[in-house]
Order: sequence, then C-alpha cells, then structure tokens
Amino acid sequence: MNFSILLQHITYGIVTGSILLLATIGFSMVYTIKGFFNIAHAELLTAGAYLTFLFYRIMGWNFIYSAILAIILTIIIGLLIGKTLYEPMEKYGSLGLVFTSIGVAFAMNGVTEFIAGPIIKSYRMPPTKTISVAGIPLVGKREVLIVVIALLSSYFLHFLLTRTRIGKAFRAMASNTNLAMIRGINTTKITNFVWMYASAMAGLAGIMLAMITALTTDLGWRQILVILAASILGGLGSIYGAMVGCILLGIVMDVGVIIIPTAYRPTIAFAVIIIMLIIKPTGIFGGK
Amino acid sequence: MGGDILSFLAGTVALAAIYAIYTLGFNLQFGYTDLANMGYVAFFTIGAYVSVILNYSPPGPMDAYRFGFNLPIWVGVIVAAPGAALFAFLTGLPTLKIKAEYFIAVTFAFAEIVRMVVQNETWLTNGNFGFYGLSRPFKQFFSPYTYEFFFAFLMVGILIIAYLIMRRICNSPFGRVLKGIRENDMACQSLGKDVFRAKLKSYTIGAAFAGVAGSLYALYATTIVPEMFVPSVTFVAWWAVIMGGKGNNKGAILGAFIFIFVDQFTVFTQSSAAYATRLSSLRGFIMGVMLILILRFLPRGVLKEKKVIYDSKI
Repeated sequence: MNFSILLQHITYGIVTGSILLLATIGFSMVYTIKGFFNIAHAELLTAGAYLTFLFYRIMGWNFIYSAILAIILTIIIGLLIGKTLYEPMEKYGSLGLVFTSIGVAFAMNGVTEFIAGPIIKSYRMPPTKTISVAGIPLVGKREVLIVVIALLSSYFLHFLLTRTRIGKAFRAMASNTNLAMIRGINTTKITNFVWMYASAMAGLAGIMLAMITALTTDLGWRQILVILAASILGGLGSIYGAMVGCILLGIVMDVGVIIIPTAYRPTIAFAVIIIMLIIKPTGIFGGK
Repeated sequence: MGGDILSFLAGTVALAAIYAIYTLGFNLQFGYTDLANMGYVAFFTIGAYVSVILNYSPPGPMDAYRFGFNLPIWVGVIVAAPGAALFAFLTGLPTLKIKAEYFIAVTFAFAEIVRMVVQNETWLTNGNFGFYGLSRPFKQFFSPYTYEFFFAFLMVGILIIAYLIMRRICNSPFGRVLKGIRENDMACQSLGKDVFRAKLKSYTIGAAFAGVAGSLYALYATTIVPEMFVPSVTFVAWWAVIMGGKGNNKGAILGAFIFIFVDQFTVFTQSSAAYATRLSSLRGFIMGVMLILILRFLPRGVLKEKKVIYDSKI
C-alpha cells in the first residue's frame, strides 16, 4: 500500500519534471549565452498555452495543428522580444537585463490577461484510460505522451549540441563568446537560434502544463521560481545539469508532499534555491 | 462628485506616501548599496502582520487565529520596524555574501516562503481569511469624510520624518561607505571598511522602513489578506527607484508617487465593472512598458543621483 503511493508520487514527479525540463532548457540556454535570469521566460509558457487554446477551443482546429501553430507564434514572439528589448540592453550589464525582463513579464502578463480575461479555462480534452503497472494505477496516456516528448526533445537537443555545426558553435559561444566571435562563429545567428529554441520549448511546456492542469493567466508566472530552482540545482549554465535537475526537482516536489502539507509543495523549490545558492552555487554536479 | 474626487485624491496621496516610505528603504538597499533584493515585499508583509497581530482584538472561541494583543496602534507601527529588521538580519547573514545575481534568486525565494507561511499558518495569520475591520488612528475625532484628509496629512507627515531620517543616514559617513561599496567593494575593503557589516546594516535598516510602511498600509487598507503581498509589490519598489533615480531619495519618493498616481488613475477611470478586470490587467502592461522604456532611454531615472565631491581634508 505505502509502496504503491510512493510509486505513484514518483511517477507524478517524473511527469512534473518532464514539463519542467522543457520549460527550463530554454531558460538555461538563455542564461548560458546571455548571462541573466530571464524572468519573462515563464510568460512564454502562458503565451503558448493560450495561443493553443485560441486555435483549438475557439477556432475549433485540430489539437496538433493548433499546438504547432501556437509554438511557431511563440517562437516569433520570443525572437522579437529578444531582438528588440533584450539585446539593446546588453550594454547595461546583466542587472539591466533582469529588470527589463521583469518589465517584459509584467507587460506580457497584462496583455494575456487583457485579451483572455481572468476566468480559468481548460482545453477540455477527453479523459484517457489510466495505465496500471502490477495493479497500481499510475498515469494516463497523456502523461506518458508528455514524458516521451520531453525525452525525445532532450535527446534532440543532445544531438543538436554534439552533432551539428550550430550546436558546436553554441557550446563554443557558451564557454567564451569573444573567443567564438574571433574564430569566425556567427554569434548573432547563434543568439537568434537560442531565442527561437528557448521560446519553442517554453511554448511546448506551456501547452503540456495546460493539458494536465487548467489555463490561468499566471500559469507561467507560478513556474518561474521552480524553473529557477531546477536550473540552479543542476548547475547554472549547464544544459545537461538542468535536465537532471528538473527531473530530480519534480520527483522531490511530488514525493515531498507525502511528508509535508500539500500547500507547501512549492516551498521545496524555494528551499532548493536558497540552500543551493548559499552552500553550493555550482549545482549538484558542478565542480569548481 | 467634486467631493468624491477630492477624497479619492486624499486616499491616493496617503497610499503614495506609504509606498514612498516603502521605496525609501528599498533605495537604501538597492540605490545606495546595490543589493538587488527581489524579495523586498517580505519585510512589508512582516511589518503589516506584526502590527496587526499586536493591535487586533484577542481571538474568540470561533476564531482560527491564536494571537491578538489589543495593543494601541502606535505600538504596532513602532514594533513593525524591528520585526521586519530582525527577519532581514537573519536572512541577510547567510545571503549577503553570495554573488549579486544569486542574491536576486535567493531573496525572491525567501519572500515566496514568507507568503506561503502567511497563507498557510492559520493560527498566526488567520490564513487566506486575513484580518479585517482594522482600527485606524484618531478616527473618533473626525467625521468619516474629513478623516480621509487627516489620514493623508498624517501619512505625508510620517513620510517627511522618514525622509529626514533617511537623508541623515545617507549623508553620514555610513552612507558614504555604502556608496563606496556600490562603486567598488574591493577598494572599500582595502580601506579597512567592513563591507559585509555595512551591507547587513543597510539591508536591515531598509527592511525596517518597509516594515513601518507595511504597518501603515494595514491602517490604510483596514484589511490584510495574503493576496495583498504578492511578488508584484516588490516590483513597485523596483519600479519606483528605477523611475525616480537610483540612489536619490527624492527620486524614490517621486517614483512611488508616479507609480501610485498612474495606478490609481486607471482605477478611477473605470466606467463599468465588466471592464474593471480588463483595465486592471492593462495596468500591468503600462507599468511593464514604462519600466522597459525608462531602463532603455533614461537608465539613471528622472532625478539623477547628485554627484557629490567630498572634501579630502575632513
């Protein structure tokens, strides 16, 4: 009995972690290249989720097409914001960028709320059958799909980083931007790639989050500290670390509610931020 | 209608004065010492709750909260300062040594934990229900209409006192050390200044201002519930300091007044309830865009910090 509850919580944790993974990859990539906490990153989750709602529920299109179009639009929004609002601010240093991103977060949240209104919405997807393992009901098919997509996209990113020119250039730029520029790497192109890839992943994460919960205008905002916690846990600036950090944090948060009251679930993430940054800011895998 | 506008204006001035006190403390932390505190609202929350718990009537048998001390209002307002400062001291000890951008994340997390505790520890804070019908100072001497004006004057009076105290702090040798830390903390250290101690002092004193502002805010709103202390309240202080001018106390006050007046103007122009929520969401948009524009085109704020040249002989 107790074991089955634990197993259920671990499974939820993996699902939570998978969504978090998609949300955090972009955040971590932007931090790696631009060196600032993009607070507005979470608003892209909201944008993706609401755009899908627009196409799927209001226009009545097929869910897959709606999601793809929503992700494409999120990419455009993310790229535009990056190019027009963040890049001109770089000369003021990372603090200026953080403040700008706070302004962007508020502006985006305002626009979303203005258009969508404050009422909680839902995709109203048909319920799916729960998959049981050895008699223990674990997850629905939708949750499995989320985990599979998260795994595939992490593998895709791994492939991108290790096998393609743009991935190698990204890694070069991550370790030393100026040196990469001197060696003839087109850093503008890489930066554009990062804005686009980060936004795409954020949009995808937003859609998935809305699939298993509901659509509220603070959908993304509520995730930002958890995203921050996951990227810190895995080591800031490390993409692979962030991936592991996400799954780990997802499991810890969902298993943690067995011990602590459910209302305090997000507190686990906040505690992770505080403890890690004070004791070991390089993350659990980070060396010196 | 004319009277309506006047009393609305008085309420707005009172609110702006409270937020100006709040922003003054933040200006000491961020404007003078460069402590990018993303969790400033935590001190505001603690100040508000400490003062209300001291002031509120003791719980009856049906009440969920356990403490209410029924003390005079001024006791609450005064104790709010050390209450918030104590929290700042305890959280400042481990966090003030870490990197600036980590400090942003850690303070943000601390503030959210405070909000979670306030929301869930019903025995102390009455949970989501909050405290309502709080008493206001000297209410019995005025008619309800004239009281609004009196309250505005009272708040502005406290703001002036707070400003004078803050000016004294900033112009003192300690204030110069803070500026030195902001410009170059290594150089400061090499001159034999205890950088960590100065930072901790600045952090604690700033928190005390936020605590007092929180207790005054409870008097203004006459209700406190956890939703009033969301992270966007920190954003008000950020916004006001960046708008008004980093490291300039007059600028901080100006920034807070601009914020509250822009904010309240959108409340007042609401025509119908149907548009109320829509308009209030546009408020966030306007504030966000204004912040982005200020950072981009006027990065030192409306009132720039005055360049002071200190006489080397003293």
